[in-house]
Amino acid sequence: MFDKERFSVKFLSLVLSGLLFLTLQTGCENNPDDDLGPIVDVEINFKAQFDDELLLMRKNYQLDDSTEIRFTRVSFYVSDVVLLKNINGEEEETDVFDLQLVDFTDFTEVNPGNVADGISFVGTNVPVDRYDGIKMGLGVPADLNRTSPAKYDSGHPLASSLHYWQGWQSYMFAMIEGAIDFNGDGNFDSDENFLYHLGSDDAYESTFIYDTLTLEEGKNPTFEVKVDLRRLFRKTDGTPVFDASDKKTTHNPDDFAFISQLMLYFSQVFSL
Amino acid sequence: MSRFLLLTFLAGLLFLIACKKDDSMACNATEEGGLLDIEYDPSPYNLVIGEGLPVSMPIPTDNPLTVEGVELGRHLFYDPILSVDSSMSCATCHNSQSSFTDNLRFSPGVDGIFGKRSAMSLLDLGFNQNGFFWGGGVATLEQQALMPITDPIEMHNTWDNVIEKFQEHPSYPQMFRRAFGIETREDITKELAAKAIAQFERILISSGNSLYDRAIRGEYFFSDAELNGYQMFFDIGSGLPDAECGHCHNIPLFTTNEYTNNGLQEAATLEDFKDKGHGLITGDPFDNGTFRIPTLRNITKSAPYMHDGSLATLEEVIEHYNSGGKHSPNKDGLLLPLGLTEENKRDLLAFLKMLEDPDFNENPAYSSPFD
Ligand code: HEC
Ligand code: HEC
Repeated sequence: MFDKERFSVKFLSLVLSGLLFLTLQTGCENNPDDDLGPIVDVEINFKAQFDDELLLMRKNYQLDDSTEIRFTRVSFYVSDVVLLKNINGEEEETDVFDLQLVDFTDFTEVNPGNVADGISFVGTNVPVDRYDGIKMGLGVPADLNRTSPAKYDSGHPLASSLHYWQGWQSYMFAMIEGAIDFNGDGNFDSDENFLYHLGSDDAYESTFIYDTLTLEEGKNPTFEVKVDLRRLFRKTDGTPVFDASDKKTTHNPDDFAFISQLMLYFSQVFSL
Repeated sequence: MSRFLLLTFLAGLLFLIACKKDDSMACNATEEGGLLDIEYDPSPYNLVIGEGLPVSMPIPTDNPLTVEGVELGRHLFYDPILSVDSSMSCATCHNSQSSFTDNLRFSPGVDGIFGKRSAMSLLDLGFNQNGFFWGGGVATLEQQALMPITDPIEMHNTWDNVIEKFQEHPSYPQMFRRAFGIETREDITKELAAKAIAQFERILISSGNSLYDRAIRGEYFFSDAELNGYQMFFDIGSGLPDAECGHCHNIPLFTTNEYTNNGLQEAATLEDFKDKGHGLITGDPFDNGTFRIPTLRNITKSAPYMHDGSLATLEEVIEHYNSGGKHSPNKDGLLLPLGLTEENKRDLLAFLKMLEDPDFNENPAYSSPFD
């Protein structure tokens, strides 16, 4: 009457086809366009550094033998982060994530948080492949830069009114604040503060970091991006990148040329 | 089977006897404390956020805004039974006609003892996610609302005392039922009271109809003075000095809610601040003397100004910033002598006056339900 064997075969095939259906479904969700093969999640981990040290805010560092520097705020937008692959001399781009705010300001000596952990963002569904580098936009792309914080739910990177500057109708792509003991008297005097607030469409920069980045099936990689703030002020040979004592603030529309220049310098502090 | 029936019967009997013997709360709950007859069907509160303000407010999932919750919160906010001698309500220090401040430098509590800080405006505070009080330290409005009641220099009461008054009150038990679905009077807790107050506080938002908002929308034209003031406030330049205000008092709320030192207190070292402000909370000496940046919306209504109420008028405030502030090691880099002329100062003041919010001040939903 009741064929046990036939029942279990039927049951098994039902389960199997169900499973197959499910896998197909999830596969489709991940790659809506076409089948890109295996995918992984890529974590980009930003570490604030001063030379080889992890950078803490509010702590004094030696720019050179006679000059101390202290940072009180370092934050910036990264956008349109992609992995690059060189195909016959053409660079092909694979999306990692769209837009995030990297903010090191809470990394202080008293509240070191997870300074060593840095700040991470994860891009999902990145096809497994061998890539040749990362490209990161520094700032807010022009279409989004036409919006303003009120338009976003709190928690969204663009909801930060601190990072918006009404005067320019632009986000502040990077905010780098601190003080340099220019006169070498061992004190940070109130006229020795620097406030670099960098923004406006023309200041948008991209940074390219070339290195072989291999994604393997089943392994979610972390790529550490070092943000070495010393390099904003000093070249590798120790000479100044620009004369900071001459230009300590950037808020006025008259500063735009300098702002773009500084964003360009800032794009050069990143490395893998 | 039959043994089980017998047991239940006996248990039931025992219960009845027990009830007759002593008039314990548990037994007459349904008669006196019970609230199950009252319908519990709260309606979501439709928060209307004016144009130009953040599109949404972060609301904790365990305390959604309801019409009933807001109404209860409004009653509690205005009810002096919260204070030990029923002389003082939240509104005594947070008056709706003064942008929810008391226009005093320091506020006396029920015992006549003065606090060390000036009462804060409650306007738009639901949007703040960076801690409450001048120095921060309280994470949520729900936590904050618990504090004034027991604070010896504010309402100096005990929660047990307040809860008892709620339980005996002719209408609060019913209102708690409608707002939170409690079943008996005994279910009233301080946490629920705090939730209701927080709900009321969240609806205290700018109308989005200040002259400034309307000028931005093109419904009103800036006067020359106002336009100059606007340009200086946001460093838009064109020959006028930068007043730097907008960095800290930025749109849309006219505050970034960060903690900074705006040069109010002279201090030779980081340990010398009279009021250490945010530093008391974080323990980082670098935070000493920093305070949460207040909103400037409706600022004409909330004099005197600053955490210590030390500046009586907006003219004095402008004078303060124009001077670059008093020296201290962590004074914000934006506090430098501004070089404003008398005319510049008048223009800046004209701009600040545009932030007055008559629609907020006259909104009947914010006023006392007892008037
Ligand atoms: C005696 C006067 C007084 C009374 C009564 C009082 N407050 Fe306050 N309130 C203050 C003062 C002063 C501060 C600032 C305290 C500080 O920063 O240390 C304040 C701050 C606040 C804040 C923080 C606002 C912000 O933006 O951080 C909230 C919220 C608040 N009060 C709500 C209430 C509620 C709710 C009640 C009633 C339960 C109440 N207050 C009763 C004087 C008072
Ligand atoms: C560096 C950031 C910063 C800048 C720049 C700044 N402020 Fe402030 N402002 C603050 C802080 C912080 C407070 C509260 C300080 C305190 O109470 O100790 C404050 C308080 C005020 C208050 C008092 C508000 C109240 O409710 O008591 C007014 C008014 C004000 N600022 C106006 C201005 C104007 C006008 C400018 C430009 C000339 C300006 N601010 C520039 C940070 C700043």
